Amino acid sequence: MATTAKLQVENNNPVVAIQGLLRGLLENESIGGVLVPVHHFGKSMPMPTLVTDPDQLSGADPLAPAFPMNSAKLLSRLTRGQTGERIAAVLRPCEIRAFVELVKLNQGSLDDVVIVGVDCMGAYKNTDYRTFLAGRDPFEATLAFHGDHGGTDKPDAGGVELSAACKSCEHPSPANADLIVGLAGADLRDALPVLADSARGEALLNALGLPAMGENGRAKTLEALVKVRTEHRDAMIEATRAVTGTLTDLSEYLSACVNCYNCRVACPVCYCKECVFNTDVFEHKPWQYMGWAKRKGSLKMPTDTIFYHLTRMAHMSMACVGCGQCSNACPNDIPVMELFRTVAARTQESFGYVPGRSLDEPPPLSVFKEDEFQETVSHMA
Amino acid sequence: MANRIGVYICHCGSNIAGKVDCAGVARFASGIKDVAVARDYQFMCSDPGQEMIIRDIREHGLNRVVVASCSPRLHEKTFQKACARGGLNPYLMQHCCIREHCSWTTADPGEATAKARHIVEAAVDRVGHHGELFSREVDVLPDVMVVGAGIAGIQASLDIAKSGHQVHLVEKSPSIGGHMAQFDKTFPTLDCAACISTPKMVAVSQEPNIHLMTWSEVVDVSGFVGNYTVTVLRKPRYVNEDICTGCGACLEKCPTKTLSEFNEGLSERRAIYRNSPQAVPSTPVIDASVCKKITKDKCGICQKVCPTGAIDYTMRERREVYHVGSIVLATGYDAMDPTPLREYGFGRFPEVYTALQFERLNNAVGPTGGKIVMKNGEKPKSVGIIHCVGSRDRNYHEYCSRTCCMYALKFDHLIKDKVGHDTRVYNFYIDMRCFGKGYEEFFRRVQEEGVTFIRGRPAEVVEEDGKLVVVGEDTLLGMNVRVPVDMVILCTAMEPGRGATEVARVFGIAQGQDGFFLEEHPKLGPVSTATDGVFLAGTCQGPKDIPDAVAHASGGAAQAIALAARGKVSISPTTSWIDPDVCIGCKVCINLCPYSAIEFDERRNVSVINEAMCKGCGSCAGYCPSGAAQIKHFNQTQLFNEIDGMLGMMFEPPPPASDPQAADQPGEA
Ligand SMILES: Cc1cc2nc3c(=O)[nH]c(=O)nc-3n(C[C@H](O)[C@H](O)[C@H](O)COP(=O)(O)OP(=O)(O)OC[C@H]3O[C@@H](n4cnc5c(N)ncnc54)[C@H](O)[C@@H]3O)c2cc1C
Ligand code: SF4
Ligand code: SF4
Ligand code: SF4
Ligand code: SF4
Repeated sequence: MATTAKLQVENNNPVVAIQGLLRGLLENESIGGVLVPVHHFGKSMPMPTLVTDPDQLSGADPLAPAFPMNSAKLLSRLTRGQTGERIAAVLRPCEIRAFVELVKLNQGSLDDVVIVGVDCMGAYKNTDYRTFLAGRDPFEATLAFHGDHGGTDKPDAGGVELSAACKSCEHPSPANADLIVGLAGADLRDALPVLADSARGEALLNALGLPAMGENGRAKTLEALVKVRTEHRDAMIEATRAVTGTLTDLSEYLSACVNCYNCRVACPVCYCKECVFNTDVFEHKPWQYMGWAKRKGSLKMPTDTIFYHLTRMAHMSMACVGCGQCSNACPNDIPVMELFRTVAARTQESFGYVPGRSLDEPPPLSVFKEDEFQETVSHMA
Repeated sequence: MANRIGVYICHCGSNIAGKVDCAGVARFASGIKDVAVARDYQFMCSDPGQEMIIRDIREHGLNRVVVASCSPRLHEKTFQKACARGGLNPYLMQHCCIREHCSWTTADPGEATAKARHIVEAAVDRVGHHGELFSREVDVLPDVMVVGAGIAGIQASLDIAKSGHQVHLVEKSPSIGGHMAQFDKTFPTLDCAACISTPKMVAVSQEPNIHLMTWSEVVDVSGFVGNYTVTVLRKPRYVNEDICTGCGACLEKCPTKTLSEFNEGLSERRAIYRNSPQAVPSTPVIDASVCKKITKDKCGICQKVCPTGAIDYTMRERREVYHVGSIVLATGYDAMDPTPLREYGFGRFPEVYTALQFERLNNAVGPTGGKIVMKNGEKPKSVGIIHCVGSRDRNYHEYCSRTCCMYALKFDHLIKDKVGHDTRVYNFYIDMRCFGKGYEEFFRRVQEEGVTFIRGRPAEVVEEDGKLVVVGEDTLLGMNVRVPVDMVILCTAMEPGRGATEVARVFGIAQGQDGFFLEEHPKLGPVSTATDGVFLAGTCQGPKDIPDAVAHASGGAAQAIALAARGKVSISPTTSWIDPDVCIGCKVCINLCPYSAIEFDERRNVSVINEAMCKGCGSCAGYCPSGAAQIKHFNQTQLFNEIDGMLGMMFEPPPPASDPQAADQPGEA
């Protein structure tokens, strides 16, 4: 699985080159469609789109620094149960990791999907992406964002910064993909390496008949990127810990939450059909509200906001991939991702679990091990 | 329609009322929303107490009841039944505990009363969300499985067989009898062990209602009370039990030797062997780990000498499946290995024996033909017996093994009797515990035989000039002692069988802190377990002597017979239920369920509970994030309301305390 093919870039336009790669895949008989971000109406936010007509790939912009939603949930819809046809999906590393978690929970399948991962240079929050575009043609803006070399010298984007999640993401290179477009370290005016990372990817790549390509410094660039991001992540976690350590601090942190549940809807690993917060368990009676209010003299409404976040942490912090869609979706700019990643760092560490790392690792709460946490339970033995 | 709840606060004599202001709590309860009547009474579990509830249900039209008294483990059923007699579905009652959880554990009466109020409020808030539930009746299969054929398993099997029910008796070793088969004499009567156990063993083999499977183990149990499916692994014996006449020709000719487990390593046995001439069944077994034919395809002598052609080296293990209504576990104990107590020199000094080794030394068909001699063949002139080795010792087992004092006395007598009355015998003991029938008398008899008793746990056993010296303190005299002896016997602790954890897993029962199987109730349920239809017999539940093990076994048998005789059993409705509209089909609960009670419905893509197998443990509900899986009677709404009540969230101020009669009168809310 060591094949690296060379994807030639014409006219200094790597986006068109990748479109060509996808067209090649789509023309392969075994693939019925491609899920990829597409600029509709030639402008604005690129939305995940299932393309079956190769001609319509001209709007595809997998390199846009926009991340309107985590497509893992969409891919789950496309692969749950009988799919019929094989598709290819162009995903960010955090989308692949979230999808792997969903597959573990029987919410999708990797059987009939070819995952095309692209080294991720990060993206803007939805609102910031608009500022970044500043009326430009979106493809031009994408090319300007990447500059000449993948992973270095990011141009100034009119004062907007990459999303907090992306700045602290230590996984810029995709894991568990079939094909990887190695953006990092590549000369974007010349050629992009396409790596096969599975037997299936290898077969597809060979069928495309691209020339081979040698080492181009991708590993080094990734290493430098991971270093910067890890430092950023650690500082972010420390800062978040400092302001959420007590119930009072946490209440203040979340004080603007209006229980719109946008963060839950946006979260790729909150997988329930009906979230417990929508069930009658949380339908309180008027006299209950009165009782609570009387006990303390007042009752902040809506109730259950802290409880909601704590519950969600209990349910999915083990699977949180740090994609930041929760923060992206919050209408009140609550740094939800920061809080969840901070908690997840601890819960995941205690089980040595990295969500999305491997399909063979079951979610820790789905298995029972008698010899776990002996220091905590040994007094009961 | 608003609920009409009746609340009953029990004094439990002074157990609760000594700390809790019961009338005050009742007064408080009468002010909680939807409470129609609240009373306190001396003993709610008494006849008049229960009648009070029944009368109120009728007269006040109650549709919910809360009883605050002892632990639900004790009397929940009592009050459920009372409600049922009053015409109320038993699950519309909530029993809360203000004794174990409150009065017994809270020092300050004011605090205890406040706590009781919270507990009662929680129960009231919870009961409002209860729904009617109905138990189901299922048929009980007539056969019973007994696992382990020591004296306890034998007794249980014979009792059950006598009632006319078929017993499938599974024993993992090649013959039955357990530890008792290793003894020569038994305390306190000193009757010969073989004389009392052999007839029982033979009876097992001849009883048409007992289907004996030796050299076999249970590997899987599924199902539920009344309907267990048990898979038995029949290990290959390599000797056909149907053809073998037990003549023993093979036993003499086999050239391969290895240490004998039955003789506790004091002698060798052949690769083809049986434990003793009286073994039941008398069919030998081939130890495949050493047999030259099986390991290297050489030898084959036994096959040549067997006159009936019973030897079959190609035998394979097989699995057999049995359907039974209940299971009696009689897997016994193991004696502790004293090697870790290095100070006593077991394994280092050849003349330090375990008690079981001594039993074999003393046995007429044992390694020395029943002669109590040292390894050099000479009689010991002095013997030291150390009691409580590994028992009553925080480093090993805190419990008392309950038999060591008595078998030590047995050894005292046997040494005096067999080796000679001039033999000096020293007992190093902590306390003499001779509590059984005829035991104290036996103690006196042995004392009169001139045996020495030194109180104090010895520090160590050392070797000096070729003799063993027991070093310790006589705590009665308050002086150090050094006693030179020829032989030392360690009364090692009785501990849970080495396979107990695996047995507990297979049968879905729990082990106590000491590792023995956990009974349902230490006083009132010593033979049943938390798993319906699985009963305990003998020392697998805790150390016992033979009389106690036999009595316990008859108790276990009686439970199994009772189930089989009634032929029906009612199944608790407090099982889990998965809401198919909410379940997303992640399948996690399926793997978490310890009773394999959840299946996946591929068509609807949801998980489904098999209610007959679900024990209501809540593993699925605890995981399921959306709450699709919930335990009936412990659902989220009920629990959250209970918590709210506990936190005093729903509190409505009680009526003015100026009404002194409030506690006695129905407080209409
Ligand atoms: C040294 C010594 C001397 C004693 N002397 C006396 C005495 O003189 N008088 C007296 O009253 N008591 C005496 N006792 C106590 C006596 O040994 C026990 O009370 C009695 O043997 C308990 O019988 P049991 O059937 O419960 O257990 P066991 O005798 O241990 O029988 C258990 C049986 O279950 C089988 N088994 C275990 N696990 C499985 C499994 N997974 N599947 C199938 N089968 C299994 C075992 O092979 C065994 O046959 C003495 C104890 C010791 C240690
Ligand atoms: S918060 Fe919990 S219950 Fe709600 S969708 Fe997420 S995982 Fe499911
Ligand atoms: S909690 Fe936030 S950061 Fe974590 S996976 Fe969900 S949306 Fe992404
Ligand atoms: S998106 Fe923001 S406001 Fe809405 S529930 Fe989440 S944290 Fe609260
Ligand atoms: S854990 Fe819940 S959602 Fe998942 S399969 Fe079980 S019942 Fe359904």
